[in-house]
Amino acid sequence: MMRAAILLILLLFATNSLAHKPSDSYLTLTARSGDPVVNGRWDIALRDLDLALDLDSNRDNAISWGEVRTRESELFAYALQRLAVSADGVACALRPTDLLIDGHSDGAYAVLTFQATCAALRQHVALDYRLLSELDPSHRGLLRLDVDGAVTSAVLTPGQPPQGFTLAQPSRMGTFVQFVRDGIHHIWIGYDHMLFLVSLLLPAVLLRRERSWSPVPSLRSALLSVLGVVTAFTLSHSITLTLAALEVISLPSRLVESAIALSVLLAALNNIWPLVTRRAWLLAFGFGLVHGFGFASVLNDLGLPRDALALALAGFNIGVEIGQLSVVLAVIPLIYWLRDARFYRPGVLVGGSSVIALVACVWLVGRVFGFGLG
Amino acid sequence: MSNSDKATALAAIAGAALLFASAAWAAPYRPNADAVVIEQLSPAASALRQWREPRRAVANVTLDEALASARHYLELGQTWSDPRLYGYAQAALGSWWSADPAPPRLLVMRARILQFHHEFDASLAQLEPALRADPFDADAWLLFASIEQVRGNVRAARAACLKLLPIADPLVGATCTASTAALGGRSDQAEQLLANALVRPSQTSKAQRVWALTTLAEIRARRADSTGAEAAFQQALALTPDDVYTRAAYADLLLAQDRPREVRALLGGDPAQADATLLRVAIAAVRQHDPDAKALDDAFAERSDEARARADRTHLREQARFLLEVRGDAAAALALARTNFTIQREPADASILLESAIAAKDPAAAQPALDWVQQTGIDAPTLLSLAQRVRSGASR
Repeated sequence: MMRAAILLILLLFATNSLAHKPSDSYLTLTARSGDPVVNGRWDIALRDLDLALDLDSNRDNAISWGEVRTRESELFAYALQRLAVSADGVACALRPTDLLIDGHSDGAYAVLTFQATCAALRQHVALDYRLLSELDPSHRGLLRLDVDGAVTSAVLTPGQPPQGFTLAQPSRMGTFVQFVRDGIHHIWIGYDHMLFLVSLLLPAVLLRRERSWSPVPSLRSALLSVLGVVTAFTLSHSITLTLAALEVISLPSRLVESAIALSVLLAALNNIWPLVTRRAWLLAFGFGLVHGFGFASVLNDLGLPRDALALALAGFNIGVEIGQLSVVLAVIPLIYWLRDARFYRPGVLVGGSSVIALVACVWLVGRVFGFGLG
Repeated sequence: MSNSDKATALAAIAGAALLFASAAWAAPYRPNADAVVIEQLSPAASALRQWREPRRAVANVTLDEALASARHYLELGQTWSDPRLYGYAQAALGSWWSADPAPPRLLVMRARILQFHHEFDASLAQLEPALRADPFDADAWLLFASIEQVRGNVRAARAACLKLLPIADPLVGATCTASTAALGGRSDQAEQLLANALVRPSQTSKAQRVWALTTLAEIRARRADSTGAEAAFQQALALTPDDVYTRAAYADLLLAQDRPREVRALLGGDPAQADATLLRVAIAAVRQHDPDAKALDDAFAERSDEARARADRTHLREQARFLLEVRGDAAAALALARTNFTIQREPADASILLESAIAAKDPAAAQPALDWVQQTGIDAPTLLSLAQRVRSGASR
């Protein structure tokens, strides 16, 4: 069994590369206007790195992960010395972040991820690309430059003068759409907000009478209670999001993050040992205030354009609501359909809430004590 | 629906969500152990290492040493059909790449490297002064002839072959002459000339013999003598079974006779093979309605995308054939075939332009191919009947 598994891995990853194409690297730079940090991902063929740095140290004509991993700092030094990035005429400092592996059609590539710290990006990016210039002049760097979601592609030739890219100035509509997208994205990757919402939604298809649950008689009554919860949550987090984004109130982020974890924990525990049952919207409203502060700190990190503050704020908030609505639309039909199944209460309501409570506990401890777990 | 059905449905949804999440996060990865082999290098890599290692420490390389390195890289590149090596050849010349003035042997090497990159005009610009300075360089005339032939300038190619005849090995001279004569409407005599040259004893290298046999096979194939063509292909492959060009050309003969199964047997199913052979395997798989066709289609399409990303136009003919014969997208194939015909004009380039113009019902687009067929006086029956179909389509 073990041997079969190892064989499979070899088959998957050790593609015998009868190279058929000239050497290319794939360079992706992701930037946001106004943000000094540019994220880079650079895929360089292991064959090319082997040519430059002699990776196959045991001479078995194969490159193992160990032969790459142990030379990580050398790889980064070699590559990053051959790339210069500047924003609006000021050179950026490049800092390695991670080394991974990925496959392309002609074999395995080292994936070098890095961060470029620049002056806040406004108008112009310039790249001086020199990878492999002395070893393979037919090498090319295929650039994908993503600024605020607008993608520019270019072919970089090593040894040529730096290539410049002037950024299209974002339209007001573009800014708005970008922030709507960020809002949606934040809900979809922000598991704490999602789990909080799910905890509030799980009992919406049930009625609490005389210390026991029964399925709601109609979709209408389930939707009414969902509507109450969602409206209350939206209203309250919009209030605090606005106040915090406009810097009327500001709270330390550790306090906010811990309180969000606590809110998830309490909402989940309330499904296991019900205290608040009739007025779930009250719970949503109260904790929504806390989540609003959380949204605000994300918005702050994204870099709010001073000239389009209200637009960005509105866009982000609408994005959050769209993201939230998509969670509701995904969950409600499913749990409405499952509400009278025998396993719904023990399995989904209590079981699911227990899992959520457990996750929230881990977050809470991590955030309170600053372990960085969540 | 029963409770257990609902539980199953819930589990299925959860499973699908997990799968979706893991698929979204699949690439790139961190191998889980140092011993995991992430890249199997080709045999070319060890040959390359053997060549480089003793030369790495040498500080002052002479021009002749640099030329020897470049020549070695080009040979390796051709053997393994690996275009990276052509870049290494250029690098081996160092500052000689742009030295001016340059001795003829340096000009010829630059021309050769440029030709591998399909930079035909730049290549001829190096060759012309080299041939003026040294009109007895057989290799340079041969290179000149093959570039003019690829560009469809049959008359210029033939003139270069005539210069070559008295100074080159008889088989090389015969192959060059026969190849251009066949394009000019004399395939009968061309075939005779080459067949005779091949039976005479000769000092030529294996590579030159393979070239002669493959040229003979292609002349016969264009004359619809498939039995004779097949015999010549098999003789060539008996000498070098791995030769990519010969294998691809043989596969075309088999495809023309609707023998896809033999194409698969000849070329194998490795998706990591050279573009030219991968294309033929993909066409054969589509004709067989084979389930592998999808994977081969994906593999070739990925390469086309990569070539497009680097603005590489060396494989436009293959890409046009892929669009026409694998994807059935006549309009897209026609667009590529037209661009391709502005760069290279061999019978296969004319063929794909005519075929895609017929499929796209746009006979006017094939006018450059019709003109070329007329000018050269080529006597290949399949090409002439394609041209006839285009003309009758245009007159309707």
